[in-house]
Amino acid sequence: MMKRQDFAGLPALIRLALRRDRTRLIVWFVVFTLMVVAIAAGNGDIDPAERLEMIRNTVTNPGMRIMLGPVNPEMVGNLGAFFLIRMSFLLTIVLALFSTGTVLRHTRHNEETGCHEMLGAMVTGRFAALSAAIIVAMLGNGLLGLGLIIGLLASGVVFTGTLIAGLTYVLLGFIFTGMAAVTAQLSSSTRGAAGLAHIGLAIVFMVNAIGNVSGTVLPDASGYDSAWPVWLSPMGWAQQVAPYDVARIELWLLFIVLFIGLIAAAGILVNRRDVGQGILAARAGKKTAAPWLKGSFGLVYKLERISFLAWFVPLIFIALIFGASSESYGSSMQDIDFFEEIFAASAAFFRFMLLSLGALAVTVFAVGTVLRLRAEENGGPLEAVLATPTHRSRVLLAQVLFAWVAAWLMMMVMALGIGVSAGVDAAGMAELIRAALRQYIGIVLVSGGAVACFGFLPRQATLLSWLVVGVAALTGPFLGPILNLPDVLQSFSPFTHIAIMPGEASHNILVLLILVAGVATGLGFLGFSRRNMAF
Amino acid sequence: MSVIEIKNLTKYYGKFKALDQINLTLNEGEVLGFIGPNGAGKTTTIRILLGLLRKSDGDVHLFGKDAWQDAVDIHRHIAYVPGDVHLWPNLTGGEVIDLFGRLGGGVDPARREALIRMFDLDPSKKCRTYSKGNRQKVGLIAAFASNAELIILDEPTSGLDPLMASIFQSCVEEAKQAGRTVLMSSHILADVEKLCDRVAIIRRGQIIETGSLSAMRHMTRNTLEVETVKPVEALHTVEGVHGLKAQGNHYVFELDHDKMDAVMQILVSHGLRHLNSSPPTLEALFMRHYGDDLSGKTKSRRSS
Repeated sequence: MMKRQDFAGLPALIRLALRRDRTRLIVWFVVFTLMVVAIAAGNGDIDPAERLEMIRNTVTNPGMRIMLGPVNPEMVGNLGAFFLIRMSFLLTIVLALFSTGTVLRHTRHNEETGCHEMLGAMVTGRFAALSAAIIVAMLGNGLLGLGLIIGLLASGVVFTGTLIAGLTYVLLGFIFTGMAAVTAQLSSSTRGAAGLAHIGLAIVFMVNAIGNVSGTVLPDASGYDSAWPVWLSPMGWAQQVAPYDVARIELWLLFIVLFIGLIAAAGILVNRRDVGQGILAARAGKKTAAPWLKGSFGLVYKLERISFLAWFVPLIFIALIFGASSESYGSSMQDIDFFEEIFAASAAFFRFMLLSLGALAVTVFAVGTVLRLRAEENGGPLEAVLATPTHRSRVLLAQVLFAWVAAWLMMMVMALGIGVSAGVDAAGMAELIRAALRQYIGIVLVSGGAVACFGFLPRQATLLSWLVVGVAALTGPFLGPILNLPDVLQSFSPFTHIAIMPGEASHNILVLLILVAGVATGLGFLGFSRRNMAF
Repeated sequence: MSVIEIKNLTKYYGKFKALDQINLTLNEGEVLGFIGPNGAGKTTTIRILLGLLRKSDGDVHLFGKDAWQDAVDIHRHIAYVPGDVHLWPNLTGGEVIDLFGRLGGGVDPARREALIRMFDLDPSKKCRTYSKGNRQKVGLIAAFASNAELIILDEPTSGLDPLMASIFQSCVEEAKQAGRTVLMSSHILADVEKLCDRVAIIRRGQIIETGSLSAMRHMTRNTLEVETVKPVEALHTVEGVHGLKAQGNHYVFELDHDKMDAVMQILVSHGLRHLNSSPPTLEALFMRHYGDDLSGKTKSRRSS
């Protein structure tokens, strides 16, 4: 059923994609390699005693295991292994974002803009565009893997293990490439396809986290073994390869089989749908608008509610699942005296950490929602909306308020979900809600920064805003310490000042953060009402 | 009171001068055709009128109010259809028409239904499934179903089939009858010729001609086709005669308007057997203005 002519034009399409992506690929490669070098150097500065301490922390604190992979005593003396297990979260996200972006850029996005129509009319086969996207994404993943290897070798890590590590993460990138190839067929919009792919990433991450959190601790508390759910997640496979230790390269087979399966699925789907359409056929809608769809606020609700639910529902589940599990670590650790005293504190810390981690996710939602207005402006319907008697500030206000109210709801429901499922008392619940509100300040601040970017630098707003989100996350209270960043850098993130635990943030700082958020947002409104529209 | 009043409008994009001292007036009840080659500044002018872009210099007033300062007030009286109609992919055409109606001054439900029927639009389809022409229909239905006093249309017929284009024409005529003012930019000269009371031609950011079509025609040449009994010696040397093509005693040439009388006397003295005089089409005007350099030199070279 697959013919040679189905791939006609493939070399030309690969060259086209490489030409379009040459700057993008180089930037990803250079930034990624520098990141690896910097982080590995930072980790190299940690002395063995401290490393042992960090490993102990991870073992005794299940909350830490959401972010960190399975640790063991060997890692004290091995920088590569130490680095890899601390970095696996970041590496996975980088590879997933890169792969999804690359595949969708050359498939679904091309169809959406109509470029695919022109290419399809030339001598190109049915599978050519998809294959070109996959091949370019694979090449890109190869480049990132090379960056990882170069970065680690530059820090003096042993060669064999590093090579295995690099190849393992390249294979993990292939999985995300395959996932994006499938989601590109399912949804008829780039945004929808990216959303589905990111949900896939979230599942991969969560399943692995569940496996690690519920792992069994080694008798001397010097490490832990992951539980079975990690075998359901490619991220878990990558961690279980343990390149510097047991080096289970036979696990590569799992990656290869799954990758081939995903590619085959994408190939079958691409054959069963029409160009420009998804697998799910568009249904007829309403002939008239609902009564509430009448102003900027109704419009934002109509446009954003699906996106809201796509974030809201998973967050509830995460809150319930991890909240419930926060109290159950006791059973697995009871027999170890060592844990008795720190257990109570650790369960609470785990809950606050969940909230703080959730706040990062909600920040991504809030900033994405604000930036949607930029997409409406640039080649979107905003021009026609502003030609009606709708004030610019009102359009922006509707967008920002939706983002903030939705974010507030998410934080509140998360706090309630964690509290209820963990069975905390009223005082504990109040503490959780206060913590959620504190985190909310950070969300408002970062999304306020996005409003300011949108108001003053519309063309750079998207890039700048995500840069701000990236900095706030990287220098924040999770990744900052893991990356071993100096305090000065860590102070860049509002979340560092907000802190994870109650009582660690000063009242004055919080007031200051609120003020900054207000000023940034206000400036954004001022800028937007005064500037040229940038189409 | 004039509905649109543009005085010495200049707009820079960085160092590039997109509009250079534009003057334009549009009176109540008028239909103005705004024509010019691609990139001449039509859309920029329209977006400044709508307060979407800021002018660099000059005065722009609609209904006596400043286009930038009072944009929202002005928009209560305006309906606008952009050249590229972008719609929300996950809303249906019917929902978008209602939404624009509610964002603007309201929609007349009976007129909405009638227009949907006339334009043969399926309002239950999601906008992502519409073709360019269908998206344009959504914009046009929303505009004509509104009660706006001024309708601004940026290349309204570029995606419509001929049948739909003629329905569009009847909509504009109806709007004109109702005393509404229309500003439309277009490349479809037949539309402009049929619908517009006045035409403004813009080129490289400058308005190079404005006026009623008949007045514009008076300023240019008619095409004459004549046959005489006796051959007319050296007709090509006569002042006002351009582009002479002779075949025996049959002559085709263009004639300057103010030399009509003198040339007629020469022709009559040679025994006029047949005469056909046709006014320049808009297309001819258009080609002359677009094709020529702004200096009058090339103008005469082209026609001689």
